[in-house]
Amino acid sequence: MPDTQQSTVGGLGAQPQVGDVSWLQGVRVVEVTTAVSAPLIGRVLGELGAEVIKVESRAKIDVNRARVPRPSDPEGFPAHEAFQLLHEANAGKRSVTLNLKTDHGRELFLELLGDADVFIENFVPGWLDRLGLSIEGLRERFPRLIIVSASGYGQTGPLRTQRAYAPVMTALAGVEGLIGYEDGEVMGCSSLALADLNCSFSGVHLVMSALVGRQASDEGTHIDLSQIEAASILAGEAFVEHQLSGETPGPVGNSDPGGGRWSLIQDPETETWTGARGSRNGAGPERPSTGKILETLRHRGVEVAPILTPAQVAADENYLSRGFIQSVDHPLEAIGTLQVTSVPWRLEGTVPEVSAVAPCIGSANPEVLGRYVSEDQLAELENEGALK
Amino acid sequence: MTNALMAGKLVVEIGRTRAAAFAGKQLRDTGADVVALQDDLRVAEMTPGARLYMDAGKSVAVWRQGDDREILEDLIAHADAVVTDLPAEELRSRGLDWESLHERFPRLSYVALSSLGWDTGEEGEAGELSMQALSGLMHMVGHPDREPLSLPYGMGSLQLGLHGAGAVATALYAAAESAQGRLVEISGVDVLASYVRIYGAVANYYSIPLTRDGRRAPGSGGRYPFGFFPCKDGYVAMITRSDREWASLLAMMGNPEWSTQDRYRNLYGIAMEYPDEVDALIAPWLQEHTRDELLALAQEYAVPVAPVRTVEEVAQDPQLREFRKFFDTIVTAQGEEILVPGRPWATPERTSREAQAASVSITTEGLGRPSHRPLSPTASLEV
Repeated sequence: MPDTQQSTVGGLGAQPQVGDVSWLQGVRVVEVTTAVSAPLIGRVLGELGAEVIKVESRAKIDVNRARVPRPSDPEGFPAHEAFQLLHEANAGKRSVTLNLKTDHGRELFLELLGDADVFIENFVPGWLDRLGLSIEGLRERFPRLIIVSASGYGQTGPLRTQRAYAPVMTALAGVEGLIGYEDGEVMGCSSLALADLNCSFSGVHLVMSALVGRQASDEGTHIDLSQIEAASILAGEAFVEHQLSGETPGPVGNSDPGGGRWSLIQDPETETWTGARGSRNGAGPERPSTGKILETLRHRGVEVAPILTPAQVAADENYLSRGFIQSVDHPLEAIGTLQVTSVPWRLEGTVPEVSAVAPCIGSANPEVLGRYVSEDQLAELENEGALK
Repeated sequence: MTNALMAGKLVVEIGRTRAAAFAGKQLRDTGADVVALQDDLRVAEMTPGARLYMDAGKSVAVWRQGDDREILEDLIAHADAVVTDLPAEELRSRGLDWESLHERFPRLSYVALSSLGWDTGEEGEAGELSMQALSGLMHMVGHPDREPLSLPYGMGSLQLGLHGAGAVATALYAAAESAQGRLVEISGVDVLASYVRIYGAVANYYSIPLTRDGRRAPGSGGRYPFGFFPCKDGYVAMITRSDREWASLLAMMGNPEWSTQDRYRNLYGIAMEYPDEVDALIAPWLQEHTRDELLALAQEYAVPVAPVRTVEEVAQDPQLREFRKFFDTIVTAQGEEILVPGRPWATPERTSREAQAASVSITTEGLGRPSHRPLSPTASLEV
């Protein structure tokens, strides 16, 4: 664990450094995950210092390895390694391939779990049972293991096997229907994948809480995390409001959580928007320039902020200087250098370094599986299909 | 291990916004004892509903100017962690900043939450608006011909609080390993910007312009459909990410004749070039069905389609209510029972939500005044 860096709390103007963080050094995470929500849990733990081993199947690859090809992709382009979301969710991990439908594949998987502190999975509930690897059985065999099962609806109930993507989950959670204009027009926020990111950081919190608990009890546990439920807690205040007022909450437009209106002011020349707390009168013929209005508001202590585009954020010096986006080279030349977002925490002044892009599928088979079998045995397992 | 993963840990919440309050709620839900300090500014900042929801199960102590010494000696001295969203300048002037506390209590961990961070200074007011505006989030939400939209109910602050809870747990783990308190700082604008980057990764890959596109995700994420669609009695979320799911969706619609044309099997082409055309083809069928009918069909055909629900409808959802025992009950001082979302996770040791509900019940003397219970008999502050 590194020494404490110069704190930036109370040190206005101080810049964080980008570097290795080893707070979770010695923690080993094994995951069988796909998409974003659960893989991102592992990625965060990895950047805090854990070793994260992603167990993959070549027969059923991570959805972020199975993308619609782009017309511009040259022949032979390694699309299954290139999708940027794959890297956002899996940077810095090690990938091994195992065919869990084979006896030898399962044996190696159990070896991995035997050395793990945390196991994260997010396939359709019941998949482990079908392999003869029930959660109950795993807990009995590995009592110190912390198992996180993330799913749309949770591990129980009639909808548990229903397919779901992020906006479907936030829709069912009551969140999307709250997002819209003051006139009641529902818009939702389909492009934010809020249910996924919300699940990821709920998962980080739960894994870390379980690790804290294990420090005291020496016991693992199984955490059944529902993405819909996790999204629903974001609307908790609306639940209270509904029951106290009797009215069904709907879209409220741009406003403070307490109800104070925000004004959105568009610059007619640049067509850019700025938000300000409080209601402002509409533009009159002799009104000052937009910039002057905003300056006056700021001067009076009103919260005012430009509505930045994602491109402006990506190019913003403040973000760049604190390591928000990091450049990492992909080992495959055809893919080149990728921009990966950092974990947005600074730990004793250090923003975790993105140590590597997402691993190529199966690229850590020799190193990781070689801990349990010899090189010859590994070749034999490859031939018999246990590593597919 | 029981549900109280963090049993025995004491966390002090020094906050005025939903960020620290939500962090405290998450930590309370994982079993930590949480004491929230409440001054007049916190009461002014957070609605009674917010405090009722987020303070359930915590101890809420009235905090006045002049109480700081008692807070330090009788509370923080016994704590494992502090989570705060107060301005850095104020924390420093009151001796509640990391340096001061770390010097005095070296095993205490500390998580500081800020809207914009520290290196950009704290010029002027900055809160929910600044976080959502400066992160790129608002630019992505809303109708292209209308003003950008924010997420309601302080959801930006809630995400900052969620990160704060994870950071507290991480700091406590590392502190136990090293016998040293740990420091984590998180800014809300970084959190939200990192969320925007996730869809940005999709958009960049497919060269999709990143701008709000109404109820549809820009460019449908490179594969149609991806968004919310009007139906007979509201909206449904409808997303397919594979050819199989698209085929199932078409089967759910009775395999309309238009769907046999190659033009409507090129999901990338539809997403990038003519989504409105296909929206128009699907719209009449959707308008014939209610949200519940569509959900039933979606389950039958295994298609990711689901209703956009109101919170009232969510509270009646059988999956959540009966099978998952998801909801908790908060009891007000007037004896009114309020059903709220509970913990979004279960462990094998959890018995039932009814049993858990009792443990989180609180009473209030009125919506504006959460209950107070003593920290210790010797505490001189009003608690």
